[in-house]
Amino acid sequence: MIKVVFSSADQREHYIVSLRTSISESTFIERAGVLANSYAGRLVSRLYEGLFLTSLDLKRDFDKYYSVEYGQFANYLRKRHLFHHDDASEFEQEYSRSESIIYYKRAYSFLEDGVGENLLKSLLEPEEE
Amino acid sequence: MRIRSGFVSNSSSTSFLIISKGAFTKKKFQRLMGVKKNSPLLPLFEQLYNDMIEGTNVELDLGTIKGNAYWKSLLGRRANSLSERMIEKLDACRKKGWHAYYGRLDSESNPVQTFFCMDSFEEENDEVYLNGLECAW
Repeated sequence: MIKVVFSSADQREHYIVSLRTSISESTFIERAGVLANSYAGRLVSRLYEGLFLTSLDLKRDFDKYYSVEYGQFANYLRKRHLFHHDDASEFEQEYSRSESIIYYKRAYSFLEDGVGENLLKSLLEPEEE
Repeated sequence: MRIRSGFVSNSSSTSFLIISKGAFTKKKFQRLMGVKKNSPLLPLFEQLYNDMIEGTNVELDLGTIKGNAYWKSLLGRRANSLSERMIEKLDACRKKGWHAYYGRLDSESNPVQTFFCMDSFEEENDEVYLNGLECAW
């Protein structure tokens, strides 16, 4: 599941992505339909890095550091990350069936205006799978 | 009143150079950038191509339009802003009869152009050379 949330702090779209299984960089590049050793390939690698290496994995963060303090995942999302109540409840439902729940904040400008949601869906949740 | 907590920057623009064997077409651009026909990123690169075509208003005369005098004059005028490597590249392509164009990208136009305006790239294959590193034009 991919959800777009608008941040009033930096006036940009952020993405919350719950994944059932992890995705390798080579699979990500293959789904993107780009040549690995090209500008587009390097751009997709940067996108992968932004999603999977430099973004916060909310589920891992909660399990490792905050489960005692907040008790429930939804509490952690609301109190630590100021998620809207509905979003926190929605991702609480996702928690048990997700391998990771990623909070992708540093999105590129070309992902704005709904483009990012569709692109990330095609890369992370392709229809044929 | 709006309070912004992120960083604030001015708008910016940058220039780019294209050297192409024949016309600089969309297909050549897609091959150069490594985007396949079925790629979900294709619209992004189509937008960039269209923006580059729109932002390209001058074909450089590498001696093919008005003769070598113009090429020498161009070198004289641009010697301080172009790197030696780019001059060598232009000269090599000039001798092969390729076309060269320069244009501009603007960070205030649309989200796609904003991204590429602020990115740096230099790509080359056997039919196109694209330099988005040097803001020299």
